[in-house]
Amino acid sequence: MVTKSLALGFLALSYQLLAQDQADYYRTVTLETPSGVNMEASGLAVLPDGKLAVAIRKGEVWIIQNPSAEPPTVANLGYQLFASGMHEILGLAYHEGDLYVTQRSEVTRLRDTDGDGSADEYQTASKGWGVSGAYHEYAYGPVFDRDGNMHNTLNCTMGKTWSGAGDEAKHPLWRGWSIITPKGSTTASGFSAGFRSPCGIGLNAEGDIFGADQQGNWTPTSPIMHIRKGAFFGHADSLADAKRTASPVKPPAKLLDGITVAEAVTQVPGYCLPAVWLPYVKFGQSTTGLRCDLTGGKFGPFEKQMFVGEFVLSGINRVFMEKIDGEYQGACFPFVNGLQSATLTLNFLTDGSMIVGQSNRGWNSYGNRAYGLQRLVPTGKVPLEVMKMEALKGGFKFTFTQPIKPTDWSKTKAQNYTYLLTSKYGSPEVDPKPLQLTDWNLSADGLSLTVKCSNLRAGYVHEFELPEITGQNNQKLWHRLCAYTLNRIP
Amino acid sequence: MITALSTPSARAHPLQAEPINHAYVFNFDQFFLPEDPDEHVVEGGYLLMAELNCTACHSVPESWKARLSAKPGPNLSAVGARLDSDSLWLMVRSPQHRKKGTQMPGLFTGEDGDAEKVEALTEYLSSLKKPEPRLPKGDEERGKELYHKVGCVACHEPATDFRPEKVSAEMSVEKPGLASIPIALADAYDVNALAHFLHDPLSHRPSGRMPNMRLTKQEASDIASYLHSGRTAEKATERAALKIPAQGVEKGKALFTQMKCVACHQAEPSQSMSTAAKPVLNLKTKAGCLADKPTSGIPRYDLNDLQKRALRLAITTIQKQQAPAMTAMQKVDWQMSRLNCYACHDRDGKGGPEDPRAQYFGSNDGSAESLGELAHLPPNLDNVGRKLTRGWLQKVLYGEGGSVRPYMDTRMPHFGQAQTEMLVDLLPESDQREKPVKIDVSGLEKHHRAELGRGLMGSTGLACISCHGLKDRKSLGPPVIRLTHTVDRLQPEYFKELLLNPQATQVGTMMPPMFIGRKKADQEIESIWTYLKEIEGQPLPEGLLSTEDFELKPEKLGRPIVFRSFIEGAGSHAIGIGFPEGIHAAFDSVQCRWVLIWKGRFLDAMSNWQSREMLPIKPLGTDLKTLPQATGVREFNGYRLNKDGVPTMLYQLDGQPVEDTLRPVDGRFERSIKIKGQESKEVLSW
Repeated sequence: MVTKSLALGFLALSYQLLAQDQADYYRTVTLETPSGVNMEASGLAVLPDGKLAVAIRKGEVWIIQNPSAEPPTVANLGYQLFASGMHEILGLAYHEGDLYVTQRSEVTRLRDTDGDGSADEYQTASKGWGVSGAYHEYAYGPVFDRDGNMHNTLNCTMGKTWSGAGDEAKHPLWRGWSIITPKGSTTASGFSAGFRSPCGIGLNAEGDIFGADQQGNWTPTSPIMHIRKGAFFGHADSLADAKRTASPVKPPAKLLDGITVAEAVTQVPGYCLPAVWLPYVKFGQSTTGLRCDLTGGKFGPFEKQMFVGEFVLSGINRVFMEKIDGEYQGACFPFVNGLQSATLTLNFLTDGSMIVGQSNRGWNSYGNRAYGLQRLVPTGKVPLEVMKMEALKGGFKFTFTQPIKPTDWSKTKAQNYTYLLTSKYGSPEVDPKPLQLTDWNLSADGLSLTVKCSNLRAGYVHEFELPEITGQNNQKLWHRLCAYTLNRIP
Repeated sequence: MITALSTPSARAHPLQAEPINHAYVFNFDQFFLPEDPDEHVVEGGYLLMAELNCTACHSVPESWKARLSAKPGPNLSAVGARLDSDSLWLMVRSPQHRKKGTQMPGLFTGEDGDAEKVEALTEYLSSLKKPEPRLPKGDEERGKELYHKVGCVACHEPATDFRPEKVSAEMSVEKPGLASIPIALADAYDVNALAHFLHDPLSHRPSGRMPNMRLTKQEASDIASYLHSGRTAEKATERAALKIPAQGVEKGKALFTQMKCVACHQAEPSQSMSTAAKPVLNLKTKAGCLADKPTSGIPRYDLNDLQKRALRLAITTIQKQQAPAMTAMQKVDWQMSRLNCYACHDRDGKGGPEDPRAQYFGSNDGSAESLGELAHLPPNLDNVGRKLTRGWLQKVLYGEGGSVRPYMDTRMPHFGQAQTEMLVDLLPESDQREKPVKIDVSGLEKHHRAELGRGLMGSTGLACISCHGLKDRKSLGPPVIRLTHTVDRLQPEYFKELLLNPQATQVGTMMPPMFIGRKKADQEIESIWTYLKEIEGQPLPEGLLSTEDFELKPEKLGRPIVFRSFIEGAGSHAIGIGFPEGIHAAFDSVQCRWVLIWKGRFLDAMSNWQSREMLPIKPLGTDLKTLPQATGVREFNGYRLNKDGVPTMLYQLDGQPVEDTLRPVDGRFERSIKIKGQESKEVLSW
């Protein structure tokens, strides 16, 4: 009951926040799309000349000549069809002069060799994963690591397989994995396992690879995970392929159903916690694409942080990560909600604005348009936000984007809880306890706030609803909710 | 029985479940533990008194009567047609021995004269026959599938050689923690009689102990056939050895009444108990059925210590006080416990199938998978009394046509009107909201609002149709409940409560909160209600009807169309190529060869472009020809389009790069193959 009532309290809060006007800080510009084209934008790549390549789910790639043009009419934006006929593209990247799209069955390198503005070479850049015909076998990516190897993420198989797919219907290879295609090769093989529906794959500022998955069986709520060779993130379906000689993941002798993720760390050999959990409903219901803010401050005070798409609430959340004992962990914050359609992917244009690609085909979203493209353009007014939330030895440190005034810190509501690793759909927040907070200390410059917490628990999410906070310039704190995934206590 | 156990296939069968050594009442074992305090265990005592039929013999004071109403045992009017006389003999002589865990008490301890009585009762019961029509022949394999999928295993034992689809290949199938309700007589039944029983259990067991699973006759026969697999008739060797002479049916009939078998069983009309047993007020808690040593003629239940403790507590309480008044909520809980609704449903945090049983519940619709448990497990029943209308509750509980979740393999069983009709009154009383949500449903007077509701439901509105179908139309996404019967099914206040805040109203729902922050939410929800009320004769919401034409027409475009998809006959890595000349081909990029050629219409892109299911597509045209297999080790590299858009397929053949092109020439294909700059040509005509 405790879990329930707390959860509802937060829910009510986030609804309230939606009503608040984000237009003060970010203007939403809705790009007009060519009539007759369902612009279900599933991949966005910014080209060196500032043009924007947009992949859409029906299998096309469009180039927008002036993506920041306003008013954002079709004529001003300048749409040009670059490639077509591909099988449900769910990812797009620009790498060393070429565009790469991820289709259901392969990554394809697109080239315009005669310079007429449309692709004439569709070269297979990566293949080798199983495609059984089941509808849920989505493929995402690619991203390229520091050494030029290509990485993608693959959904596990759900739904009916198709006998027409031959042997792949019996066992589709590397489903529920992230895969690597070494530089110079066109054959993918397993890299890390245990994903369910890893719609997001992206790099952080250091070039480390991160994935974003969606709540469901073996995935208690949507996680952000640090993808590295041999990691296993908990979904059982992927383990069939862990037995292959090519597998870098060592299969656990036994996967236990219904233990907490905190327990799984010690009881399931090889199990890796995600770096950040995004608590269900409070931060939406399904994470999608993720992207690191490398705009050098043009997009606001969140440089080098990750922004993660949210399907159902048609929004975007923000993630701050730090390394503790060499492993990533960190906090999530609400960012914006209520865009016109479900966020699938996002990127930053050269002017520092964020471009969001949208489609809600197959699942409903708060934004009721079926698809589209929107830009979030900073107005220049800096929001008062928790810029970073860091774990301390016995507590937390909040750093604000602007100096704040002291307030009655006892009004903070905070709790920690963990999740179950289970074959059931999702997990409730389990074992919740209110946080014992003392010694609030605001720095002299009003920018950082520390608090001691006597009941920190490793493997638990530490969720805060801060009191109303006012900046020294009388601005109100934009978002009061934040949740730190404390895998390790420093 | 021993021989049957030794064969491996038999050991996997549900009939070989771990035997239970006490009179098994599922909900008692589920909700009561030895370490529980008396205040709780006494509730279990009441449950046992009712479920074990104590009150059929021992009357209770007036205030307790309704709650502890007896639950009749099987109707025996045609038992002689169901069980042969050896099986009847074994069951009469020692039910606990023949059917471990049975709720039927034994009456014989082997005293003088017992053997004759058993024989007489057997003769009498064997004489009770009624011809039953032959049901269709059952299919054992189908029966096995059904037994595990329609919900039988919520209460009964799953076979160890059946693997639920949901369990990953890497996981072992977890065994139920809670014992299963025994079905140890199933194999002794005549197979046709068993099928009749499965088809209409309520006519054999009017108390709803075994609910009607709404099986067709064929399905009932299939399950009967499965339960019967590998069985041979059982011989009562001891009976043969005793050599008791025939006792005569009349003696058995008289005993049937004298020994109070009629307290639980009906055999013939107008049989009734001649003498009553002691009322509960006069019972001693260490004698009679609760005595440590059984006496012949006194019912002997195999009660374990906890059950005895519970019954003693219940008896002492009944002797001391009037029955406490129960709230509607408590009455619902009581009836749900008696009927074992909790085996499948969770209500207010109680019940629902334990995980090892839940894994057998499946979905028949692949696109439902992403709904998780909502796609296969029976729904949570929190607030159901303010959710469903009375009319719909009646349909669901004992009527017809109440099912709205065809994507589930399981079905809502029917427990009989007498056992469930009180819930139609109790549930709404129990679940009412302190401050009911207000909704204005006077839509007819303001007719225009139906159109607003239709607009909101459509793809350019709130897109309810993304997940909900309507009438004969599937949703665009997962197959969530169709909204056709909404106004008959849901109470309008609940409908509004749910739409305003789905997660808070319906635990575990995936419905997105579509009305957050909408200033006109009240009016909009009422408009949707109005539309759904007037749906007959109304157009469907925008988007449900696929008005767009997704057929790919190269002749219209004037250029070849390359289209990758799942194509029937060309696999899951297929590339379709349509030429404006009206002849087309499909290339399999795994085998790296042309696999299909055809004429006329090309392909329909609907599956790729609009649906979620991504079903394989079929060539639309005529003269479809499958091309022969290719040889050599091949690896796909992609394709290149020339100025006219004609693709050249690129692949390696035994390490050599190949360029392979089809071009239409006079209604035929000219194929050009280039290996190491050497071009060869062939013509494909068909």
